[in-house]
Amino acid sequence: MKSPSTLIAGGLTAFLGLAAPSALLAQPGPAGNPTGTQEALQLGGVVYDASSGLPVVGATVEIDGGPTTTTDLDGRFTLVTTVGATLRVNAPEYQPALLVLADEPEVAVALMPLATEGEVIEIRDIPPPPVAGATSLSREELATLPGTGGDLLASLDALPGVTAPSGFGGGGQGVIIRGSAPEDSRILLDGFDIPQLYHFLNRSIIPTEAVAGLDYLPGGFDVRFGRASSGIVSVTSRGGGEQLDGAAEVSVIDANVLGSGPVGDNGRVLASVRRSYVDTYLPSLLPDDVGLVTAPRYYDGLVRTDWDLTPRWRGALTVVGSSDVTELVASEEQTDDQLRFRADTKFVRAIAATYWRGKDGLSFEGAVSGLAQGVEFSFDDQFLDISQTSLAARAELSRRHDQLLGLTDVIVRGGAEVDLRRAGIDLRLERGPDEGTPDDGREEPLISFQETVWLPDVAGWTAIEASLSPAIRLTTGLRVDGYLRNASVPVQPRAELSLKADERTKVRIAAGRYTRPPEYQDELLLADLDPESSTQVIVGAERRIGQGGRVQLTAYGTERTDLLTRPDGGDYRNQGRGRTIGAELLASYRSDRVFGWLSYSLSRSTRRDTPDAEARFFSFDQTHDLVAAASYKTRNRKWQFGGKFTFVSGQPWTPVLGAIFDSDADTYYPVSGDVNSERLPSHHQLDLRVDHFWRFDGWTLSAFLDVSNVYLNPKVEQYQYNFDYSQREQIENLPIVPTIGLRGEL
Amino acid sequence: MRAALALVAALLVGAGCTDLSQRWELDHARILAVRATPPGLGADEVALIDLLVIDDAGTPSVATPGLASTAEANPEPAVAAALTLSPTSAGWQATAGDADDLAAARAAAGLADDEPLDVLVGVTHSVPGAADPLLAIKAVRLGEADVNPATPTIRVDGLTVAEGDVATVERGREIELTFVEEFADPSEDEPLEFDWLTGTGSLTKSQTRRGLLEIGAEDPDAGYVVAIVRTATGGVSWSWIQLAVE
Repeated sequence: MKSPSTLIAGGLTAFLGLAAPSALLAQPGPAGNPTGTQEALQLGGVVYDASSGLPVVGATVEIDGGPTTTTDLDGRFTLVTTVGATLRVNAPEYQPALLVLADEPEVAVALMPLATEGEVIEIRDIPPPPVAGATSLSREELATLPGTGGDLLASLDALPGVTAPSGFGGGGQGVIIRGSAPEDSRILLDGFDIPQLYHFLNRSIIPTEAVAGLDYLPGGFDVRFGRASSGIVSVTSRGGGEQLDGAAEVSVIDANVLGSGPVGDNGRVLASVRRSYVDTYLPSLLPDDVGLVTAPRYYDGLVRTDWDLTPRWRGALTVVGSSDVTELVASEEQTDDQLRFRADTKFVRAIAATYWRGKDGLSFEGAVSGLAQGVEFSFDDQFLDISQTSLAARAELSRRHDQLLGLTDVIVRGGAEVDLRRAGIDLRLERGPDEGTPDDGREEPLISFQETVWLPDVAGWTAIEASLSPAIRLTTGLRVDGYLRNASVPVQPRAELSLKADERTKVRIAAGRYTRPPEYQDELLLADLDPESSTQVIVGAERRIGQGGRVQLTAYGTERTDLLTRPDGGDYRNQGRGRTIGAELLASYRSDRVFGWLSYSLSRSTRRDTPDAEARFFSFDQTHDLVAAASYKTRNRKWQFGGKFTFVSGQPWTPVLGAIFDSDADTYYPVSGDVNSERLPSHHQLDLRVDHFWRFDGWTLSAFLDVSNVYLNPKVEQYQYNFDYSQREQIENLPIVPTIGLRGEL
Repeated sequence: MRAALALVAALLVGAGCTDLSQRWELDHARILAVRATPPGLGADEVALIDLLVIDDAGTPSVATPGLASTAEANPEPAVAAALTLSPTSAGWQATAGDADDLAAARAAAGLADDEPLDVLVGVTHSVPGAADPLLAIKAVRLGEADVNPATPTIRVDGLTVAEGDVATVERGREIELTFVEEFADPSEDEPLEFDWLTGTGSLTKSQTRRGLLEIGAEDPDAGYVVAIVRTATGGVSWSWIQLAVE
């Protein structure tokens, strides 16, 4: 018996006079254009397998009489069309799909495998998450989420389980997922690490306009991902369209220009360049005793080209790069000393990828990437100079079988990756406190290191997915990493069981082992460390509600072992253990004019630095994290209003109980209380955003005002003590942060 | 690197503004210096331990430690045992052990036979009304004779002011605080360290030989100025004067 949604689809296809009633598309929201005009539509979407939910790579997406494009590694596509146009999707081994476009900027298309024609077709408004607790955000959602200023990585704070970092240092070079350290998770662009995520002042390296979408996998991820003991954020770059397209955006911080269009008969290109201009006005805002030798400025750029080599084979080349420079001199008020700071970071990464879909369910994905990175940093008599190059490659071959060994709809996958890095390191630095280690006020001896380090990491994996019954699907896999510098070869089994309770409800159970190589910062200086390891168990339930609505409830437990700690101040040793338990709720609603988001996380993350130590809170533990966001587009499409409310618990904090005065050194050593035994105050804030659109012949101009923390509730980032620790005060972030921007789009 | 980045971020957002008391402010009770006279001892020699403290009103005085001990401050018992502390009518006396004691302590500390041995002395100072005493440490160097620097004599805008005397200064202009003494650095690697502290106005260059004081309209009409001179080997001396603000 067909489900109601299937009947709707059948009615649509019948109306269009299609010969194949089972050809299917999923398009939520009302069709038609209220103004009756041919309104330009910047369309993004994803194409996925209707039965497995996996993305369909290399599918041809075309507008009748208009542009054509193909889906990328994640099944995503973008093109410019008009409301009311007909979208046609074709892929080898699948039935074609057709769709009349409404005003919806995002569509999801479920393709029916040829082999399973005649089965009940499930219509989905958005593809199912790849693992329990995972979610995705489209480019438009990333760009218009209130309080983020349209910044890609700032949007991550809205995701369940992501902790907004406290302190000016922020999350450093990563994202805090489910109470673990930033280095435990990875942020990938097109499958490869981005060596530097943030520009100065925490602005994302990758502009949102150059991104197709973002997948957030907080845990329980597939064997194809590794070298992370917590979560994965996978960002997909945006491919060019079949017609010339362009956009320019200016904000108070930077300006971005983006263009895309066809190349030859079968190619498309997209290029994005951005430059900050904080350096033009920052010097006038600084105190008199701070001299800017080089005002902070950054560049970044991304170029992606796609080619359809054959109907079954396509390739893509992506080059992304960034450059940041800052140099300043400050006079020390109480001495005759001068403080000099310089930071110069740059990188270029190139990724050549190919996707091939053969006959008999065979498909291949492969990519090669090269990286060149330079990091120069100096402060007073300390410095760091790193020159790193890397050559990495990854490939995965999969084959789909209708029947295999008595199982149905079986997908067998196998893959491998290699990452060979060479890092020339020259440093003289104070080591700095470790996670959870209170500052004891004593100057640590500077460590010096001059060496070239080779970091060869390899991995191989295999997985099999199969339906045990129409309602039960099992995925099991094995990943073996080789961290060759450390002579460590961790074996990581992983599995997921998916139970379909009804057409709209699914329960998923996942478990697996995950490891992170000991390659973060000064861990690199030691070659005899083992990787940090985690065992994750995740139970999730998800239910689709109406058209565009979804609720996910996830509970998880993570046991961490071999954590690298040095509580005695010596070298790192794999002697720590940790445990995180938590639950997450994510409810979302997407329609053509409304976006709603409710995310709540409850978690407890603790650890022991040595086997005999008492358990304490992890420095990144966050008990409560609530985000409620909504945006609404007016009927005439000229205005969009959005708001986001956030409530978060304060992060753990180690109090100072007193101090001992060292008379000879004329300094005070704090006497700390129990590690992370107090918390910073909890915080709540409301962010608002309004966008206005002016549509002209052939192009659109839009302006936005994004105001963070509209009722001026300052967030306590950390406590600052006076010189003898007898007083403390709160360090608060800026109470209100307005961002304005102007964007023109062809 | 994290600390440096935080500092830079703080500089760039102008976060240097704070209501916390500065180390040059005489605004709450604390120990300003611990003195051993002499700071370096040979075997069986004796030093006197005293403190420079201020009370909550910012008034300086020389005090005797409430308690003095080497036990908690030195992880090696043999090092702690190389210096004996005892209360006397003149204050706490620190007596260096004999040659055998020093040899045992040097061995425990991993020092060669002729190297000087620093023994930490922990002291307390009780403040009326406070639940816990103030704590401080100071090293007494054994096996190497040493002396404290000369007691500094303070000059205010070039005029010499005797210890404890009152100097009259004006509001709203920069006042130069210097010393009568030359105070030559013992060596290039071990320069003298200076500390100016005040109970009124704001100080810049307070950790140099020439402190600069400015008294604003809202600052108190009177206050103390304290000068402390330290050597790299544990020697210390101090003096103070009073300011009357016109």
